[in-house]
Amino acid sequence: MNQTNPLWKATYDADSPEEMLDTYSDWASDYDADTIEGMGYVGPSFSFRQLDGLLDSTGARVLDAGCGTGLVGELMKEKGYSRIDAMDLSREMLTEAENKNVYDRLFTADMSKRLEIDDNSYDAVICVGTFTYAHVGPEAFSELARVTRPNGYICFTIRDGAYQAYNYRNTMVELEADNTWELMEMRREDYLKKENVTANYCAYKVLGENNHA
Amino acid sequence: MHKSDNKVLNKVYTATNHEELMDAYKDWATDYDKDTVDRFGYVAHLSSARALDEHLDDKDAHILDAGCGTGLVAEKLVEMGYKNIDALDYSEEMLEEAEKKGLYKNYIQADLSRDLDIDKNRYDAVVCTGTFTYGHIDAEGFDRLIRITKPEGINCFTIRDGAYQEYGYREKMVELEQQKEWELLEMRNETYFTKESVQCKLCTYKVFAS
Repeated sequence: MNQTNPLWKATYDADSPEEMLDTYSDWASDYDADTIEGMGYVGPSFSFRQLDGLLDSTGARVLDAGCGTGLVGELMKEKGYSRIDAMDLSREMLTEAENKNVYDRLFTADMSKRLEIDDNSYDAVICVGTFTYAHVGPEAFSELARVTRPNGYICFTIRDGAYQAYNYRNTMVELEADNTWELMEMRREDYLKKENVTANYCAYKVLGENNHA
Repeated sequence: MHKSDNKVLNKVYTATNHEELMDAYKDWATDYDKDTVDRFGYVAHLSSARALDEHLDDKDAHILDAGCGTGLVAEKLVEMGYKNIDALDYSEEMLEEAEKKGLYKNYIQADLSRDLDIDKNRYDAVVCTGTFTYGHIDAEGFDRLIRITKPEGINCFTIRDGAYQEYGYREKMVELEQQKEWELLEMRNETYFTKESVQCKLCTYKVFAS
């Protein structure tokens, strides 16, 4: 991670959620230019393309979990999606997202805890750039599945390196074995293109055969 | 049972046992490449070779092409620089067609639905394209591929859409991963027959130490 943007690196090295939030708070206004142009961040566009291929209707109710500045919401709006909610831990990032005028409802939430969202609330959840170093671990998967309706979809990225270090795969397999969800696709593709970092792009269908107890 | 509008495909998909299946391939061997690639737009051999290549870093890797048929996958692999490939198929006639292409080191006639007379941990990679489908090899075939692959070796295979859902392949794949027999690296939806709008799952696994 030598050449990585120092602010991006600071979010990985954060020792506490507070430290990570501080970094995002300082970075919010420059985030889009720094990540997309500076680092070749293609996570939002690749992941959205995967979700778009699975959804039948642009009327789908979608949660952008870990929306950041709203990069995913922007792409979705361009394609005609009109019912997107946004959730992030950082207020400053949510303010940037709000300025894009692409979301219905924006709220702060910590994905490492139980979400204050009803079961089966969304047709789909997209979560880009959140499963990575010092952010959110695999414990969040079951919550994302809980808030997604049966036969709905979840698309997310997991940064290479963190993918192995945090054992995301174990939980993914457990949730498939207990029929919480079914893998539609997992592809390893560019993530930070200019830094030769890849991510696993995962798409799951929620089965809802467990009772979310 | 799956039916295709296409007569030759219908015969291999509806085979009720492997003798019937071998009979179908026997008649088909010489026209197979022309029929599948030109008429149906069969492309799974190309995406399989690409997927395998992405996960191998040594062109000398010892590869088994399991269910090689007429050798379509190896044509692509050899073009990419791989030179240490063995061929396995149950149909003698298909193996003969494959042999004419001169792409393989060894030729093995064997049924993937039975125990294979191949040493454990023999191969760096096993590629198996077009074999997990209607009337062919069920999910038990995965155990056999894993057994003959070295720890950290690669298994790369296609499963035809439709059969994927009906034959319980996914349940077995997940079970083997829970048992730490292998770990999924990628699963992609890819085109199988371009001219018949059929898709497949293209799966790449890393095999664990056994």
